[in-house]
Order: sequence, then structure tokens, then C-alpha cells
Amino acid sequence: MLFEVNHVCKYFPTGGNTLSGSKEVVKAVDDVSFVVYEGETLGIVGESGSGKTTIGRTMIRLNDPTSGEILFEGRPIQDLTRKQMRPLRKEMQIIFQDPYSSLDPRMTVGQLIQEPLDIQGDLPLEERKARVHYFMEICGLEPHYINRYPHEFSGGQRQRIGIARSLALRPKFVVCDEAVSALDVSIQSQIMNLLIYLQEVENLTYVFISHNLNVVYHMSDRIMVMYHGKVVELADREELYFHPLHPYTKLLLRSIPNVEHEGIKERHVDYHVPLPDGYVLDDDQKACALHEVKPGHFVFCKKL
Amino acid sequence: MEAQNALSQEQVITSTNFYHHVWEKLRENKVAIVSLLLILLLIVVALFAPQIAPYDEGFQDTAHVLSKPTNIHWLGTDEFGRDIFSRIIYGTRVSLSVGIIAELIAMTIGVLMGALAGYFGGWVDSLISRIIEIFGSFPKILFAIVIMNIIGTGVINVFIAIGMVGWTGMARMIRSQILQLKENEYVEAAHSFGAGNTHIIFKHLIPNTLSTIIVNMTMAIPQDIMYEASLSFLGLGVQPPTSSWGQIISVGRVYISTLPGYVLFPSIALVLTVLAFNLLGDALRDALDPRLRRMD
Repeated sequence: MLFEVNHVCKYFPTGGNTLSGSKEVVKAVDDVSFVVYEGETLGIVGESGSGKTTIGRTMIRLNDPTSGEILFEGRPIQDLTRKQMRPLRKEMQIIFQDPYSSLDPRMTVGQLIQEPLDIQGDLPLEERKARVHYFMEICGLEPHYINRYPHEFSGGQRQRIGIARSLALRPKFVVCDEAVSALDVSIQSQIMNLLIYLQEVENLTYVFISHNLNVVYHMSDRIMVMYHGKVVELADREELYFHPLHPYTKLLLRSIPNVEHEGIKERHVDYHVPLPDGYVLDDDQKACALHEVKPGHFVFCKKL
Repeated sequence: MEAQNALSQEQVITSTNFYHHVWEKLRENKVAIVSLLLILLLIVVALFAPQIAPYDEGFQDTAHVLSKPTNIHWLGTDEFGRDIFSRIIYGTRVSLSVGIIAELIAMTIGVLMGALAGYFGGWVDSLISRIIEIFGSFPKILFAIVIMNIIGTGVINVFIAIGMVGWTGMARMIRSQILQLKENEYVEAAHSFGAGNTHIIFKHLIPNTLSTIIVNMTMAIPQDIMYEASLSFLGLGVQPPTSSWGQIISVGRVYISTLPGYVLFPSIALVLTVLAFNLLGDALRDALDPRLRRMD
């Protein structure tokens, strides 16, 4: 187990008035628990505002969790300060959605990819340069791009720069936050294949966040469905896509555009599998929790 | 393998440099080029004042006191027989160095304060914004007079006084720009590498405000030159025998009816300099504006 997330909540204050003391919050992530196994890809799907990005960022402490526990390799990291987190940053990285705003326009490709190494500063300069060259190469960037600026590249190539930069520290764990969502469909598959290739070469563990069910299906071993800050279903990829149990998951699967190629629609999705005995769906959220209804298959429901 | 092959299919835009584009755009603007040449000329004049000026700035030609422009004193002489042309040339040094050094001081304070307010927000922002408002609610020249009264007269103190009153505009601009810039994902990316606030502010945010800084500085330099002239005119700035344009105008106003050139010529120098910086600033603002930038 690489990551263990226990009852994590992340509330964002909204509006409210500091003087009157009223505290309105948005529960972006509300009591979420799951684990990430070493070497796997855990897909997270959900609509906009479901909390999938928030949980991804909170896991690697780009956000501070409101409550709950986050264990990285068995070590609790939810209360570490920024300074204490610093050496751990080498182990966990993030690939961003927007290949435009995630690269500083005033830095060259070489400077961008070297930046994380410079900040961590534990490698001699020679070795840092060698890393930059290595990761440019395996991310499919030609060596002579090194002195160019990001605006000279297309979206797909910029995303390759972003990926090379995130991997330069040789992390164990990478959050891919909508890493292909901003790209043209034709480029998406290239970047997905690159991510799969890098996972093999670098022994990476991914949390792959996307709102695109086809993309998540292609990338993931296990998939977690989020809705309004809660996990509603979590199961192996095949199980989740072909035997969905939660109504929201069913709704999502039905909403996949019906394109007849290697997609999911072609195969039969069984929408009528009932919950196993002893478990029922309930509108009352307070009565519900994430229960393991079948081995490895978790559903947000009520246990009788 | 697929990953490697994919590359050739993506288009690579030919190499271009942002500042190259800016220069290309600036070059098309004739007014900007003339202003730039005039500023360069002033810098040369200031650097080589002793070589260019026909007389020393303190030299008194007692035989020709308050003379009209003649072939030995091109722009006439003042009440001590000092050559006005030479004093204007020496005055360029004060005016330009006040413009540039005072603005560098103002820029440093302004950029730092603006960056801190914009980046940290919260009470830091409230505090700095209130300070900016306090400074902004008084006429700046009044503030400069107060400071000059406290720290005394002299060229160095003029730099300090003008620098201390001139930073608020820059701070306001930088603050609002940093507020926008910090929402960029590259800031969060830097966090994810373990970067501290100092790294993010100085390596990412401030370099991205460079266009704003350049434009703001060129627009503020003429103001600073005017402040120096005003302070010297009021007798608080540069002290004789050092000459500055404002100080020459100040003394010369007594003789405006008998010897109009005494006031007129330094005023022309002042107006031309201010105009050159203002017009260059305008042109730079247009050239650096990304909305007007063409990527053809």
C-alpha cells in the first residue's frame, strides 16, 4: 500500500462573514477513504465539482485537509509543515491539466524541467543536466528543444514538457489531474500511451483523474467514482464498467456518447445487477457509508 | 515506441523571442525611435558633460554678466557670469540621474510591496494597501517637501525623497498583476516541487511582471524629473553651485522680462526630456501589450 486515505474531508469556506462568525463551507471532499496500491493506476471519475481534483491535490498536500488522515508508505503526512513535506515532494508529483498555464512562459524547456531538481538541490549540476536530457528523450522531446520557450510548442508537446518536469525527480507516485483533457483527441492517445510507457519504465503509481470515462477505462486498474465530495463506488475496472451497482455510476456509463468502436458501449453493460443481500440504497446520506459489497467492490449504501 | 514516433506528427512553431517581437514593433514607431535617440543623446551629454560643455559649471565670466546669447556664450550668462549652455549640460546629469536612480528606488520599493501584498493577501495585503492609500492621499510634492525638510537638501537626498513618494503607483500595478499571476498552475507546480515563497515570488511572479515594470518606469521617470525640478525650484533640492534645470529656472525667473532665455532654455530641455520619456513609455506599452501582439 503506497497511499492510505482515511476519512479525509476538505471544506472550503465560501461567502460567510468573518465578523458575524457565520461559517459557510463547501464540502469539496467529505469523508473519503481509499487506498492506492503500489504500481497500480487508480482512476477517479466524476463530474465537475465532484471533488476529484481536490482529493488528488489534498493527497499530495497541495491542499491542507480539513480533517482525516493521509498515510504515505505508512507515515502520516496530513500534519506535516511545508518544510517537512519538502523531501517528500521527490516521491509524489502531479501532472496538470492545462499545458499553457502550468509552464512559466519566461523559462526555457531546459530550465523548466530542471526546476524541480534545482529546488530540491541534492544533485550535482552535471547529474541534473543528465536527468533533463534523459527525461526529454523518453518523453519524446528532441534535444535541440532545450533552449526554446513554451509558447513555441503545441499543446501536446507542452504536456510532454510538463510530464518530463514532473518525472524529473523520479517520484514513486504521480497524480495525473485531467492530464489529457485539454488536448486534441488525436493527441490524447499519444499522451496516454506515453504515460503508460513511463509507468512501466519508471515503476510509477498513478492516480488518474478525469471526467472522460473512456480515458479512465483505458488507463486504470481500479476506478473510483465520486459524486458531491463522496466516493459512491470503487471497484476493479471491468467490474465497475460492466456490473455497476450504484445508480450514479449507471447514469455516468449511460451518458458515454455511443461511438461504435473499441469503446465500452460495444460490450454489454449490465445495468440490472442488484446489490447483494443485506445492502440497500438509501436517499438518507447519513445512514449510508462505503461498504464492501463484493470482494474489492465498494458501494456507497446502507447495510441492513 | 509509440511515444517516440508521436513527436514527428506534432507541429513545431519556429523559434521566436518575445523581446525580438517587441523591438520589431517598436522600430515601426517613428515617434518612439526619435524619443529613444533623444534619450540616448541626453545620456551621452550627461556622461561627457565636462568634454561637451564650453565652460565649467561654476566658471564666472565677470566681464559678461547677464549677457544675451552671443558667440562666446551661446545661450547667454546668469547673474554671476556663468555660461547658461554649460549649466544646462551639467544639469542634464542631475535631471537624468534623478529620473533613473530615484525611479530605481521607487521601483524596488513598489515591486517588493506590490508583490508581497498580491502574493500573501490577507492582513499583509490590507496593511500594504492602507499604506499605499495614505501615501496616495497627500499631494506627492508635499510629501517630498516634508521628507527633504527632515533629511536635508542635496542630490542624494533628492533621490531618496522622490523614490519614497513615487513607489505607490508601481506597487498598485504589481499587486494587481500578481493577484492574477498567482492563479497560474505553474505556481502550484512550483509548490509541488517543494519551492518556498521566495522562490515563487522572485523566480516566477516578478519576472512575469517585467513588461509592466518597464512601462511603468519609463512613464514615471519624467514625473520624477519634474519633482526634482520642482524641489530645486523651491530651493529644497540641488544646491548651488551644482546646477539642475529646476534650479536654473528657479533663479532665472527673476530675470524673465529682461533675459527670457535664462528661463526659456532650461525649460525647453526639461520639456523635451519629459516628452521623450512619455512618448517612449506610450510606445513601449503598446509594443509590450500581449493583446496587441501579433504572432505572424
